[in-house]
Amino acid sequence: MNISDSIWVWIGALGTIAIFSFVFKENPVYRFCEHLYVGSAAGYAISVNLKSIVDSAWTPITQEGKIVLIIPVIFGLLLYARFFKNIAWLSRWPMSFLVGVGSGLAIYGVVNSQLIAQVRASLLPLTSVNNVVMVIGLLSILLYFFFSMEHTGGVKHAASVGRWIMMVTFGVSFGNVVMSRISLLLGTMETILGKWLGLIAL
Amino acid sequence: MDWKKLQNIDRRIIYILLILATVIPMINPIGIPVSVGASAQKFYNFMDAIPAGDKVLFSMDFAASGAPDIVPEAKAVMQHLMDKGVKVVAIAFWDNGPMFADQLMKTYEDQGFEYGVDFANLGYIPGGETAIKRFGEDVVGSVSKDFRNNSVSSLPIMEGIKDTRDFAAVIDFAAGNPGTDEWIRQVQGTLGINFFVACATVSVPQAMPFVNSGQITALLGGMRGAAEYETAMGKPGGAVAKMDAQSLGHLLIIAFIAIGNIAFFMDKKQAR
Repeated sequence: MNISDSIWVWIGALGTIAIFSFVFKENPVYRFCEHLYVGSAAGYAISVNLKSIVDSAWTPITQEGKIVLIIPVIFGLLLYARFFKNIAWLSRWPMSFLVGVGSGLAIYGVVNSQLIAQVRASLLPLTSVNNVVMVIGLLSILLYFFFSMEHTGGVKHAASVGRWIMMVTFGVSFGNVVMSRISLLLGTMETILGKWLGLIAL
Repeated sequence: MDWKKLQNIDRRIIYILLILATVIPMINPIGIPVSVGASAQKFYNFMDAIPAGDKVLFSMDFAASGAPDIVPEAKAVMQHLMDKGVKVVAIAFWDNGPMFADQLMKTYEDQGFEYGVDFANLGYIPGGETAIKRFGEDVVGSVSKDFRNNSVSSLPIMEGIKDTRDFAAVIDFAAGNPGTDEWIRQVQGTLGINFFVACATVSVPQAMPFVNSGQITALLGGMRGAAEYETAMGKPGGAVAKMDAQSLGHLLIIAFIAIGNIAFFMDKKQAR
């Protein structure tokens, strides 16, 4: 056993144990650590974002003479106009710009990469079990969400196959969630047993 | 027998058993073998074929909550690339990302690798999908200073880099959005880069359709993916060591699901 002499490792390990104490009962130590985490994460985010503003706007404008960058800076500042009732309407300009650019980018990207490419990838020759399962799964699930005709007879049975396939998919997703959560537990245990107590090699 | 009691086991008992099931094998490993899946092998083979001196981009799009799953993947791939003499450039579209990239690189700095030559951390770019598109098409134009405040264009590692096609591979270490979807929508689809994903286990089902369509060349899924990569390298490390604990944790969860179901049906039978 080789206990760490780093104060930061001690703070991390004791903070982890304090958060785990919630399993038994909510308590003041847990609440203190929860607030400490939220506060430090917010502080970190603010500092990283401030650095980004300095690097991509302040320094280029003041030291490199890129005056044109004043336009996006003004647009950015106008977003805060919503906090002042008499000029709140000004915040709609940058918001409209953001929505327009965002939609334009997303629509092209979604259609090209997530619709056409996926449809193309689904047009498979029925030459293997995998391909057959994939095509049947796709068609039956599409049929399950096809509401323009009554689900009776053959359509009902095909839609029911789609429902079963979706259930299996949800099971797979849940299995991955369980695996992911255990990985998180292992990560924290590694901090406690390895970095802090020195019981396991890192 | 009181089947109702078995359906409502105190959560504290479940937690204690789960902690014991994971802690004991971490201290005393059992050595359950780890097999390498097709996707991890394809990932490894591609990285292994990259010539020394070429550059790979790491997009560090995760936060502390995804780190236990993703950091082992990043460590394994980084070790492989450093051993081969491949250079690594990191960027992040999550504000926590640069911190993890910095930790990853510091290990190799201590071993004599040089910052700015063998690897560089370009920091964080806000803006999500828009930022990914801009970075994808103009790497140096979209980030002026790196995480350590050096001018990006002055870093030797950035020589010859214009857009993301100049990297031998782009690996997205992703825990959500912005991440894999945005990279595929804005960069992979338009520029046709060699795109790889190393994601949290929970994100694997969302990424799989892109693997099937070939938009993602290969995928590593969570700590299991990291363990497979370490095994493919022939250098079992931290992720392989944790696989015993992961497997026992799963067995315990399966046991609890089975107990809950048996108790449910037996209770129903008793009520009749």
